[in-house]
Amino acid sequence: MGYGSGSANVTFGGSVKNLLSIFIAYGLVWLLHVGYLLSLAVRQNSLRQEIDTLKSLIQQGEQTSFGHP
Amino acid sequence: MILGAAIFQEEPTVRLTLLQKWLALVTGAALVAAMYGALLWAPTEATMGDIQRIFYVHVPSAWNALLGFFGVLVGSLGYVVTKDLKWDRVALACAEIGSIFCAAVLVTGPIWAKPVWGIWWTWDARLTTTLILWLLYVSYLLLRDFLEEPARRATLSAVYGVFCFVDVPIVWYSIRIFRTQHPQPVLMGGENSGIDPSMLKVLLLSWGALLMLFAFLVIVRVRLEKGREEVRELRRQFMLQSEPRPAATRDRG
Repeated sequence: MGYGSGSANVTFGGSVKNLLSIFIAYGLVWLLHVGYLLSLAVRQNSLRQEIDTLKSLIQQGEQTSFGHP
Repeated sequence: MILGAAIFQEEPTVRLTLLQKWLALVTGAALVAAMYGALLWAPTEATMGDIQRIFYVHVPSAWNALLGFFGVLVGSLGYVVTKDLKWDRVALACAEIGSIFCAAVLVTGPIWAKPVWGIWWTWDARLTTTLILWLLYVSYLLLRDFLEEPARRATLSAVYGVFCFVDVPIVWYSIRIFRTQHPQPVLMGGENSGIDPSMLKVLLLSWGALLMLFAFLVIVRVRLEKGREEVRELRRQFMLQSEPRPAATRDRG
């Protein structure tokens, strides 16, 4: 049995069957992608903070070493 | 070309550019349109009924997974040839995102199979090789986590990344060579393959939307990894700065 082969195998209209299965399938796919996007956002945010902290620490260190030769 | 420019741009930042923000917006709109097409606009398949609508997310996800794993191959070979870490970043991003799409395939397949076949899973050639494929790339990602030194990690991952790709043609041809429970290919499958034109439109719309999502995720993931390298470099600078002055200058006099 194919996924949906041939133009004769389609009907238009009618009530939706297996709605729960379709909802779960699409819901899980969205959950996977949104979850991955959120994990990227969290990692990106913490990385951005770390970069800013390190840059300011290096800058402070440079100023201190120029101040006290 | 835009994807290549976004991935390989040199300025060290983890912030999104305006173009990438636009790509995110367009991707979101395309995904909503694809959902509408798949769930409401596409005709109902006469034999299986509405459960066939899972096909519009299952098949494009499978194509994107294979595309991602092809990206791992390209990135791995690129690193082996050039020893440039930007190729390793591409391989990593494609492995992670390919695995996400492959997981989507493995999740949606059984949900479709239960009402149609009467079983959630069967160990036929397509399903088994796809599960092995997913496990291979998950192990690729785990391997990377165990290796600390960037050049060594990139080299070993590149070798393993090329090895993992061996399963991709096996998955692709499994339904063409073996007799499987899994349906025959809908496109590029010979005389008996093909779908209704209205279904094909929705399938291509869904694939287009998921391709844009794929491109966006690859860009963000590559830049995140580049940001990590920036952190490593800043840490190294900070450590050098924090080291005590040489003894000769302190003990003078």
